[in-house]
Amino acid sequence: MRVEPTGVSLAVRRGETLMAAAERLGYRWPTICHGQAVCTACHVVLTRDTEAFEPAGPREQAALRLFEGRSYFDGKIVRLACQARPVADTTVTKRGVRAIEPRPERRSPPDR
Amino acid sequence: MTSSKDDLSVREQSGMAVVPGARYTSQAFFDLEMDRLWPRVWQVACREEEVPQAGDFLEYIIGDQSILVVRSDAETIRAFFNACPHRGTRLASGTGSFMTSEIRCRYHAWRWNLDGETVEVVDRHDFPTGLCDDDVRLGEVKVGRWGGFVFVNMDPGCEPFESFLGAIPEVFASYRFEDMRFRSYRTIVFECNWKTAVDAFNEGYHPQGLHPQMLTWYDDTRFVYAQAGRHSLYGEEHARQEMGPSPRLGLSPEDYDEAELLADRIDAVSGLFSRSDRRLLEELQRNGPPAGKTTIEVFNEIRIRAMRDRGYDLTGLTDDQILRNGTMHIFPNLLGPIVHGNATLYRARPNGLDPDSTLLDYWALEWAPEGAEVPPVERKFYEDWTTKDWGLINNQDFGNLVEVTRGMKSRGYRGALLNPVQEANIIHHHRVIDQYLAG
Repeated sequence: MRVEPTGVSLAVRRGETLMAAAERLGYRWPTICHGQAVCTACHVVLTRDTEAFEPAGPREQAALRLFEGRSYFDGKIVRLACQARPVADTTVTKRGVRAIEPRPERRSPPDR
Repeated sequence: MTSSKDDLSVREQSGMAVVPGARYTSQAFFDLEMDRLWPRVWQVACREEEVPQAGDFLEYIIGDQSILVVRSDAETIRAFFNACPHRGTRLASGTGSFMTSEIRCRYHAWRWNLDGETVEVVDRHDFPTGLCDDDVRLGEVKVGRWGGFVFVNMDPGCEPFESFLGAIPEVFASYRFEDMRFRSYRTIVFECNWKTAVDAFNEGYHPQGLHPQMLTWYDDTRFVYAQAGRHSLYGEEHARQEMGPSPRLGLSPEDYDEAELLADRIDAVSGLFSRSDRRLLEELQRNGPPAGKTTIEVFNEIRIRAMRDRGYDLTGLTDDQILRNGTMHIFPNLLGPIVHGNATLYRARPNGLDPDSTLLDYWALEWAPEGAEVPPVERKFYEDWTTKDWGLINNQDFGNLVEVTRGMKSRGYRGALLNPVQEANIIHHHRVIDQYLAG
């Protein structure tokens, strides 16, 4: 599993959420509610392979409704990293995913 | 009664203020407020625009007390206890206008003029000759006016209105509340104490719990809190000059997408922008700011221009004043976020004599363009708040009121252990209430 724009590569275990995998591997993932499908700060944007995750459960679906009407997300496919469980390898976009220890060796510059 | 008040005082524990839950939930404390706070405190009964013409009246209800606010003439607004001096009949209800500029009791047809002076006691000859007009004049309630708000006080010996307001008129002068008119007026019943509803809007400490979705674009850690006499305020010391999310997310500028933050900021105040503003904003989103400017600078320029286009007279205000957010609390029960040009104010009133029921008046006010005829506001009433979608933030705040109420009733609840900094205005509110209860 690859997380852009930083290019972080994560080996996600079967049944594990994206955020849980990142935290297990020593990365900090942006969140306020720490996995309760409430704050939506952990959201990722899927650019392809939408079927690479298990379908969203009721809690995640409820939280994803909060993206409706937010103009930035018009036409974008969003999932919550704290809920979404990958079933296949893919690439997602999430800023702010960073290694906690040691300091990240490579970090892409911001887009602009 | 006195002993129950003493038991329910705000107490100190490890240098912090602890507010007993029973101040919110007990009938004894509520009764004490009904006895010593509400009959003696200046409180907002209505806006002047609700009684625009001579003869117009409005019934203001607080607990089991009904007060009649009456426009006596173009310059004068009076208030009376809403009870016939003869047999006690309530003289008028709701809103309306007294025909022929007289207040007439529906029961025995005694009449008074709009100043509350007796016009007729029917069959007066039956009464002893010693009966004088003043014996049967309407019981007067004191009136104070500021910023288009009509305050009333039931206590004839109350403190002067000006000393009650203290620094408020000066502190909030630039907001020109007197130039505002209702854009909407809704009253909602909540299963909570009136103070629970006040508390909900009296601190900016709760967004990370109740409104975490905002934190991706909104910095919730910049508020400063201050008390002004009986009242209080909090808000940003200066308008934001950067786009970042809440520091609670621990992100640095390369960790977030400015376009996403900008989009969410635009969405938050979307009602303000005209079609041409929207084109400019779309351009900003697409191309970023021109050289030498930041995104937020350009966004703020468009925002200020949109406010001017809306007819707001911003003369004499700095950009910083125009752009910063604040919340005003007028003791005991009127508060809400204000900016130059508009205000969202909540007035929380006990609903009858039930400590667990509150009437929350939810007022949207806005500067009216000069000389514009503003139609009278339609008042809407909601017995059950869940029958309407109030928008995400309100839904979260409203839904929480009942959760606080239920939790506070727990036998295991040891009282509100308040944050001395970010909940200082709630502590202050309780201390001022205690001043009234002690007297």
